[in-house]
Amino acid sequence: MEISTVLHICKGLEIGYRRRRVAKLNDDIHFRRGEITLLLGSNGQGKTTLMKTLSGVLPPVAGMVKKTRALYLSDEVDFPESLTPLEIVSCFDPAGTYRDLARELIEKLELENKRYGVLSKGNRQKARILFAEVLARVRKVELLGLDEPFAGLDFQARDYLMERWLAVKCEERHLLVSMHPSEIASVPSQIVIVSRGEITTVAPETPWHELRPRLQKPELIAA
Amino acid sequence: MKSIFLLHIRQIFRENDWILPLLLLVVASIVGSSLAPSNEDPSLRFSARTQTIWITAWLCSIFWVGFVSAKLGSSQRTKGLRGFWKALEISDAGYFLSLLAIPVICNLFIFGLAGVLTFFVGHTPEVPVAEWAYVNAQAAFFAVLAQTSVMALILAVTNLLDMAPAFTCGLLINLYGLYGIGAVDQVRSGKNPVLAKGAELLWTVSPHLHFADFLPRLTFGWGALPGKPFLYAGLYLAAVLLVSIATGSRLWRFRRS
Repeated sequence: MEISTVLHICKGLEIGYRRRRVAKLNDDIHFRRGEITLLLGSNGQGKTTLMKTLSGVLPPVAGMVKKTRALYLSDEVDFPESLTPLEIVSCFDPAGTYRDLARELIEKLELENKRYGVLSKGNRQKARILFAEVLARVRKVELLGLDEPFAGLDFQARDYLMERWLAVKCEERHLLVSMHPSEIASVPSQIVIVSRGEITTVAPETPWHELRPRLQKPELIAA
Repeated sequence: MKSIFLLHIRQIFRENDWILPLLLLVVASIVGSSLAPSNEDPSLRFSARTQTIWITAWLCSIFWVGFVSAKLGSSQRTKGLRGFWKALEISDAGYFLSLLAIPVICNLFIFGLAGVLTFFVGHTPEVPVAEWAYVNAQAAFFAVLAQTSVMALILAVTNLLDMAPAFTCGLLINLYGLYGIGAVDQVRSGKNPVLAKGAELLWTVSPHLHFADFLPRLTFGWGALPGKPFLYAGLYLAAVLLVSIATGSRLWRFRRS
């Protein structure tokens, strides 16, 4: 394995649940430090299952996934409603090492430092990203998986985050994001498609009109 | 693990529920004396206060801390935090113990406060001050040990059941361990040999939480539990706690869905 590789998954890996195989990997995939992988797939095709498998939350059905210090942030995660984002950050980073980063993110994302329970949907999503960013640094996370991180975010926040993620190439982690290609302003390091029971990689420069047919569900193609 | 503990301890104290047991204990220490027929014997007001304070403390622990444990445990599942911490390679046992530390602190707060209040307002002049302080410390220590065992089970059960059934389980264990065992003891010494044998077995394996109930000792001024019985009862309650933590850690294993 190369030094810069955070995780390497081999062809033949199968993801899913105990009684239900969801998808099978058709290529070897390397997740390298400082890079971004864009994960694409229609609803229910296995994007979240793949993220959970890579971050160790789910075991693979077949094959092996090396244990990596990962953080998987889904939009289902919620935090104590009586605390403000800054208070939650101080629990994740008691030494206060990343307090300035947290303040900067709060300011740039225009996140209100009100109790988490009273934040709007978009602000909750901003807060989740803030927590992931801080916790990823505190825990020295190597693989950060963000499931639909831009859902509910305003365009200013999207632009800021995208710019920030693309600028932090030197960081020790790999960023795995599932989102629509139109939401990513620049070309990602690699694109992984989860569709029709298969996990494949495509060239990062592949235009959307070529990607689109590969993402369609089989029943739609048949129709 | 530290993050999990800090996050939830801060949450509990921010939600201000802890004010309720605090108020109840303070009120109990004030109104407790009026529950005794102090016209007949003025010294009874001390034991009446002591009794009211400790009963209130036990009720607060059983209901409030039981509720806190059930809510804390079930929120981990409903808020999707199990997978969040799992990905960060936090072990199930470490996760469980981080959460269990919260009911331990709540119980320390309740029984510690009960001990302090009783020390000041329930002290009968005939009992030496050092002896009174010691028996109150013993009572608080045993109560925390016993209640932590129950809270560990409540917390663990939330991994399988919702909040309300988990809380009810804890309540039933408390009722059985504090009072139900008395009924088993009666059957044990009954005339029916088959029933007596069954009751004997049940009595042996049951959690004798009533060992932690110092109410008669405090109320009737029996003084502190002597060294050896204190050690044996302490070891017994510690063993119950260990079994409870071991069972709880097993039940708390991450469930993949």
